Amino acid sequence: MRLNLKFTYLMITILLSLVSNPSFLQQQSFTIGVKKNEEFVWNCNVCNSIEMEEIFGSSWDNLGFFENLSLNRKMKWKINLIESNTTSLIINVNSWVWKESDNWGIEDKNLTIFHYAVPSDYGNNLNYTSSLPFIPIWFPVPVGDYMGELSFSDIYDIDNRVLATININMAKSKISFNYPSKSISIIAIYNSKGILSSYKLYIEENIVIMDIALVDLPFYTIPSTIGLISAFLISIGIYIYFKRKNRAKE
Amino acid sequence: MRFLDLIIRTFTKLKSFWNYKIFRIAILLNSFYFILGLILFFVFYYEKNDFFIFYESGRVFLFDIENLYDQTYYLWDFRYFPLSALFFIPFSFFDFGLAFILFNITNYILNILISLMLYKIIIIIRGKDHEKDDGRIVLYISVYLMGLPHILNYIYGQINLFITFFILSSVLIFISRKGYFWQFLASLILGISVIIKPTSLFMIPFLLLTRVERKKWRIKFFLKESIIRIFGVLLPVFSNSILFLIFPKLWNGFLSTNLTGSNPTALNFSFSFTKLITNFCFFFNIPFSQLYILISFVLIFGSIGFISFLLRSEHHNSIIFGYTLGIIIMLLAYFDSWNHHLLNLIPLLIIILFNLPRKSEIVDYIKPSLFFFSFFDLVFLGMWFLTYPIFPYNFGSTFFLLITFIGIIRYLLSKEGG
Repeated sequence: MRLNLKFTYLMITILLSLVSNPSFLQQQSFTIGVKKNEEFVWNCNVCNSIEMEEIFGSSWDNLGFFENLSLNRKMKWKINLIESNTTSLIINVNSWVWKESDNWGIEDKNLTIFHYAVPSDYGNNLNYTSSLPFIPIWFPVPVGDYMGELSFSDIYDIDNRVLATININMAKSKISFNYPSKSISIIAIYNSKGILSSYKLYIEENIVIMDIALVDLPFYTIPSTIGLISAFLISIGIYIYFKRKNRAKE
Repeated sequence: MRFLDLIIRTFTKLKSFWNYKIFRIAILLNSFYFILGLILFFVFYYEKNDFFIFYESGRVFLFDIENLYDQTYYLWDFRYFPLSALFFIPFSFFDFGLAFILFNITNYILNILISLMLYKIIIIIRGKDHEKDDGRIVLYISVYLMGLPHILNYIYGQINLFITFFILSSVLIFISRKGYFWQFLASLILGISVIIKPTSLFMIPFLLLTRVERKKWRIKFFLKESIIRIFGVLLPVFSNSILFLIFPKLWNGFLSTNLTGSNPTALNFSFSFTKLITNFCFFFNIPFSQLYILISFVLIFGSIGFISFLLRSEHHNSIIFGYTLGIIIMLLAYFDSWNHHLLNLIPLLIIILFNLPRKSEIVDYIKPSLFFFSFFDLVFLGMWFLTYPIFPYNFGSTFFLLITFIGIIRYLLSKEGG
């Protein structure tokens, strides 16, 4: 009984201290989730060039992340430099535009990408609609929390409940006259390193006209999947076997 | 005096439970989940959990009710009926951290009350061939208290235990009291649970007191009781329409959030059939409308469940099976069925286990599902994060929900169910 009372007092003390002085509730700090020399390769699984041209004009694949993009092509980033200070988080990457072969050769571009260390520094109505793909390719980590603290414009919807995801619903002519020429939706998912892992661009009726995905699977994905399904099936099998055996005995 | 007597009897019962080692372990484990929830909340999930939405909804309801569905107020979408925000107003008066602690203390107390209510219901509906002592009941109450879904329920500051409490209160009244007033009251309580969170929405059709006599193919319909029940359950639900009429913007917000909200399109670990299909469509770039998929599954499972319920054999406690079917249909069909929603189902499955004949074949459907929901769904949820790049399906609970659904239907249609 005395032990119970002590335990209760201890709990009450802890709870009161948590409420009155949550000193660890400082503003969350964000970091760079990628490492120097780390490589990321994306593959284009779906690319409806005709629709893309109709919606975004003939120059849609001239610049930026979509430069030279077409079906089954790959593009690569190699992290060259990471740098962070109290106000900003910066990465420098060597970038190869979309290619058909894996023979990468010398990089095509060198890019420096910047994010504020404090998301609120971006202010309100943040948007990336000045150029395709309308989203950043990289975010600081924890990516879900960082995205959650950004104040995007109304076409963006952040879902960081499970996977860090940006949903975009863009009506026809939202950016300028007849641009885009059709209503589109985008679902962009980021991995735990803050790198874009899946990008899907939809037109009406939920038809995918662009699907880009990070190529490298984490090493544990395939064994985990096989293990999970096998363990499940074996457990069910064993359960049924023993149940039938017991029923037969009865 | 009667209230004091009730308190004394409650404590006496809890004291008798305490004599069982398993119950002591269960209380200790549930207390651990409670404390773990608080620690994780303050360290990682402060203002990043579901309670933040409930807390904010209470504030918005008080100060800017017209914009209750303005999602810029919330971390994630507020989707519930507007009156649900009333429940959170008391918590909104406190500092957020303190409100969370008070809310979870309420959750903890609710768990004790749910356990007692489970005991009371089981004593009433227990089959004749079951053990007469309390040992097995305490064991299953302990299974409920030890269930891993409590962890996420505490961490997120979720409201499932309120729903469970109301559902069980409704069941208890239905099975222990006769008369129109009690029928009305039990239905009203279920209606209150629907306005807090529509998880129990599909239980409503199972309130209809009707049955098809299979031998004569004649419909037995108790009109007066059915009307009272439906009126009782819809009264709280339709009370929301007063708010919708006064503030038309609320209605538009409610509709757009629930039917066309963008959140559900994202890939996630919901174990509902609808989500497994939308994840499949997302993964393989198959054009889909999540709303049509949702409606299809509601129709499929809803009609199978309700027709089986109508064709059931004569059964005194059919309300338990009706409620269970209602919640299974919701969990199978709605976009987002999470691990902590299982806290609404687990107590009902425990009640069914005690209502079924001890050696019933249907136990083989219910028992494994009960243990899976209590102890393994969370493992599958964790595994989903490892497998989702190639296999984004949290299929474990879906499988066991289906098994339970089939088991209950088989029971209702069998002679054993009479």
